[in-house]
Amino acid sequence: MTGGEPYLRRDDLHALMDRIDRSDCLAYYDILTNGSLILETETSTLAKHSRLRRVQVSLEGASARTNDEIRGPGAFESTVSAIRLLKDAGIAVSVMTTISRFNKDEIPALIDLAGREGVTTLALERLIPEGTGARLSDQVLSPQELKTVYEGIYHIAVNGSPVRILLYRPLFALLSPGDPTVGALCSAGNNALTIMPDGTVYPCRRLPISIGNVLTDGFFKIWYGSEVLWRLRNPANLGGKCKECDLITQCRGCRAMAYFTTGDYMAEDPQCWR
Amino acid sequence: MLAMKLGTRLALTEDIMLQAIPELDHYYAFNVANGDHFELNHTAYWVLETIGQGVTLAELRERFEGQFDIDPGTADEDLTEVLGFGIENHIIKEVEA
Repeated sequence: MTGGEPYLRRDDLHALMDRIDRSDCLAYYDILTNGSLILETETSTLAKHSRLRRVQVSLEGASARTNDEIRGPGAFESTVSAIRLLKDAGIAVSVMTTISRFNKDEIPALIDLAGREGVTTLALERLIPEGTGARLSDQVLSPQELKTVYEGIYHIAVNGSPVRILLYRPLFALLSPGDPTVGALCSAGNNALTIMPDGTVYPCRRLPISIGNVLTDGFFKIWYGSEVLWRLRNPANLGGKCKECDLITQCRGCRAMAYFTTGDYMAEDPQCWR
Repeated sequence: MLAMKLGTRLALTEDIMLQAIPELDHYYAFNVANGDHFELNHTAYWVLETIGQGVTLAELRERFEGQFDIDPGTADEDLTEVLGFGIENHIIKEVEA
């Protein structure tokens, strides 16, 4: 459950979590928050929600200077405080970082920080030039820059990283094709959907192409019937070097990156270094 | 053969959606109301797709024999299997006899 910031509607959030606790079909969920609005008095309540898998907060650097340049003044301190509050309450915490030219050199230090703070998992995502990121297109890494950053992350991940780094992302498979814990298909169309507050459904939060409205169409009609999703699922529709790649069963690139760079969500991943 | 008259008209059940990715040899039937999904082979998919066009059992059998170039006995056996699967799983229904 994400936002915006879900804690801006705290009462609705707790009501929804109560509802999910009684659900027959939802196995687990995460909350994605900036952490600044989580109260110390409610972490014990949060911990009682058995289907809450973890709370994810965002950190863009290992220092206040770097993080707050992107997230705003005071964000680093409030996020680290939230991590400690949640951890003290026994709630698993995940950190998500968006890699850009601005913070790429701080990734190793960020991994150390996550380890010291007892973070459960660290997700490192690429900056996609969409939404607020559109004005940061000059911060998107070149293929060679991304390769260097990913190699560094992978080296740490397999050599005693203090935090579990989630490597099941497109392009990671290029680093170690024989390692089944590395790389993954883009989740769009395969194992994920995004439902917006008004019911509009996107293949991915980062691929904002409307494929229906869950309130009027229903979930299954969209999941099984969307032409966009079926186009995404069929690797024969891929373009450029993705189509011919021998890692097509493990990667297929990021469709959002392709979309916002070329206008075609089936185009080759423009950050692929192969 | 199924206990149906040759004049029986068949149809896909409401909420059934067919989907094919021929280049991967993947064929499916989905119920978009309750989420049931069925993996099919090409033959079963062809039968369901033809039923979706609105045919009688006699027309289906004739087209089936022609499409797959098989003798009437084999056609009846195969159709019986596919139609039985379709009815049992509420993928197809009889609309009139």
